[in-house]
Amino acid sequence: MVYFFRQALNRLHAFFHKAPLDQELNDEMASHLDLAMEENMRRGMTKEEARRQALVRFGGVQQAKEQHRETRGLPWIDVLMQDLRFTIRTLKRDRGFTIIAILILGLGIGANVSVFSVVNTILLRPLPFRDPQQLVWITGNNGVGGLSGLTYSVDAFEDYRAQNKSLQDVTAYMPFYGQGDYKLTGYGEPQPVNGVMVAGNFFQVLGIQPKLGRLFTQDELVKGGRPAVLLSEPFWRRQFAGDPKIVGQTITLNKTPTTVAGVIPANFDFGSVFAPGTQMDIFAPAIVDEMRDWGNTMSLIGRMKPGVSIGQVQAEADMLFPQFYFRKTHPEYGKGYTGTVLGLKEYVSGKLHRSLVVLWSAVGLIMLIVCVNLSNLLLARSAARSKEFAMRSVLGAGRGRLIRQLLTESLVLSTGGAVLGLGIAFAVVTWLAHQVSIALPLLSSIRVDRSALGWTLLIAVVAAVLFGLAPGIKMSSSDLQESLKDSGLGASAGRKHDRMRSVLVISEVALACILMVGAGLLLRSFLRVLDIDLGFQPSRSAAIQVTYDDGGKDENRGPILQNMVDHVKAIPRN
Amino acid sequence: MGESKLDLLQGTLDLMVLQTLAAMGSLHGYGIARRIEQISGDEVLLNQGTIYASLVRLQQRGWIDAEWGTSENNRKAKFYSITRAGRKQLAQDAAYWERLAGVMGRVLAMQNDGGRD
Repeated sequence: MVYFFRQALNRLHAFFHKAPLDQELNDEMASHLDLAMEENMRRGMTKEEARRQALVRFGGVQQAKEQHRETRGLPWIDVLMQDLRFTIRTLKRDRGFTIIAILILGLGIGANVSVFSVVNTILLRPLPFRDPQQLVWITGNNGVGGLSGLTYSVDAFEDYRAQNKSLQDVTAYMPFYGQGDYKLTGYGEPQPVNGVMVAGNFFQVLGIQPKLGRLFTQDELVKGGRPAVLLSEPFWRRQFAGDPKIVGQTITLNKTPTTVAGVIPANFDFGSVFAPGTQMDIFAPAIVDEMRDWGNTMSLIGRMKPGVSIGQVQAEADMLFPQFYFRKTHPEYGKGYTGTVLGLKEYVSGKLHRSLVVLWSAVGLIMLIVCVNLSNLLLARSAARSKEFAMRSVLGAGRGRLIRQLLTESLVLSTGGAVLGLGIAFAVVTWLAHQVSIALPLLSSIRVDRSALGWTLLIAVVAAVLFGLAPGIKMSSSDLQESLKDSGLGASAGRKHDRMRSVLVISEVALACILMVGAGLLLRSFLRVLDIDLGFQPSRSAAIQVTYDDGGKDENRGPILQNMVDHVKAIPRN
Repeated sequence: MGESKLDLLQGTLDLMVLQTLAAMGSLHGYGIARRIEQISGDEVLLNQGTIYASLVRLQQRGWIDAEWGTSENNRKAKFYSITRAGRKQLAQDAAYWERLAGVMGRVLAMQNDGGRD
C-alpha cells in the first residue's frame, strides 16, 4: 500500500510541474527515435526509411505523450480546470446574464439559509442545557388561559417535588414580573433592571454553571436571609464593564444592599427560552416562605430520571396534582390542580412550529422559482449557443463532455450565488440575533453555523443540477445537422423546444401564484389586526416607564402620580 | 500487420518492464522496448511509445529509478534501473502470473470425456 501513497504524491507533484516534465519527456522520446533510426540505418536502411520505420514502431507520438501525461498527473483536474476556464470566459462574455443569474440565486439562497438558521435554532437544535431531552414543562389548565391558571402555589410545588417518583428534581421560577421591577441605585441615575425570581435549585436542574462566583446558598433562600442576586453576563458587561471584582460585593437593589453571588454565562439566555422578546438582567432567589400566601406563583420545570418517558410523568402527574391544596394551612381555599407535561423543547418552540414550517416552505418555493427562472434563461441562451455546441461535437467533443461543460457552468453560477447568498444570510442573521424586541425564542443564539453551511451547499448543488438539467436535456436531444444548417431549427425540433419552455413558464407562474395568494392572505389578516379600534390614536401616544419613590406606602402613590400628570400638562403644546 | 500479434493484457507490460530491468540491469526506454520485442519473438503487439506511460507509473510507485546518461554510441538517454521495492513487487507479480498460467494451462488441457471420470 505504501506505493499507492507514493504514487499519489508523485502525481500531485507532476500536476504542478508540467512544463519541465514535458520537456524531459520530449527529450527522452527524441533520443528514443534517434536510437531507433541509428539501429535501422546500421541494418542498411536509407535515412528516410530508417526514420519512417522508427516512427511506425513507436506508434503515435502525440498519443504516447497524452498517455504518459494521463498516467503521470491528475487528468480529471486538468479537464475540470479546462472546463472552468472556458466557463469563466463564456460567462464574462455574457456579463448581463451572469450578473442577473448570480443576483437571483444569491437572493434565493440567502432567504433559504436565513430561514434555515432560524428553523435550525428554534426547531432542530437541542436547547442549550445539559441533557435537554430530560427537561419537561409542567403547566396547569391544559396550557390555555391566563398565567394564574398555568402556575402553581408554593405548597403545590413543594408537594409535587416531594412526592413524585419519575423526576430527578423539580424547579420553578416566578413568571409574574414586569419590565424594570428592580431599581439599581448608586451608579448615577437610578436604573430600571429586569429580574426574575427563581427557585434555589433552578440552575442546578437546568445544568448551568455560573461563569463567575457561585449559585445561591441556603441562607440566601430563607425568609430574612442575606439578600443575594446573580447577574446575567450581558448585564454584567453593560453595567459593570465586565469587572470580575463585582462578585462578592454589595449593590443596592430596590434600596436593599444585595450581595452579588455570581455571574450567569451568556449562553443561558432566560428571556430567549422562557419569555421571548425580553431580556433578563438579574436572577433573585425566590424566598418561598414569603410567597406561600401569594396564590399561584410558580411555573414548574422538571428533569426526568433516565429512562422515564413523558407519558409516565404525565400519568403520575394525573394522580398527584388533583390532591394538592392551594394552601395547606387553609384547606377551605380548596384543592385540585391539573398538570399537563410537555417536553421543554416542545413548549418553547411548539407554538411556532407551524408558522416556521410554512415560512420554510415559502422560501423553498422561492428557491424553486429561482431555479425555474434560471433554467428558462439558460435555455434561451442555449438556443443561441446550439451552433457552438454542434460545432464542438462535430470537432470531437463527446456528449458527456458537453453536458459536463453545461453542468460546470451552472455549478459556477450557483457557487457565485451561494457565496452572495451566504453573505446576505450572514447579514440577516446577525441583524436578527441583535433584535431584542422580536418575540422569537432562542433568537439571540441564532447564527449561520456548520449545518447552515451544509444546507447552503446542498441547495447550491441541487439548484445547479436542476437548472442545468433542462438545457442539458435539450442539448443532448438536438439534431446536429439541423443546428449546423443556417436556416436552423426544423419544425419538429422547434416545437419540442417551445413545449419545454412553456412548461417552465407555466410552472413558474403557478409557483409565483401560490406565493402571491399566501402572502396576500397574510397581509390581509395583518391589516385586519391593525384595523382594530383601540379607542385612542396609537401614533400620537407614548408609554413611559417612570421610577419614583413612594416610601413603600400606598397612600403616597396618588399624590406622586398626580404631581407628575400636572407637570406633564404644564408642558406647552405646539 | 498486427492481426496475428498478441494484444497485451492490462498490467502485463509493467511486469515485463520490471523483469527486463531485473535481468538486464540499467537500460533506456528504447532498449527496454527492443528487448521485450526480441524476447517475445515479435509476437507481442507493442507500440514502443506506450512503454513511457508504464515507465512513469513504475517510477512514481518507487519500483524503478531513472537517470540521464550516455549510451554506448554516445547518445544522451534516460536510463532506468529496478529498485529493491521493485524486485519485491516483481517476485510477487511473477508468482501470481505463474500460478494463473498454471491454472489456465490445466483448465485448457481438460479433455472432453463426456462427463465421466
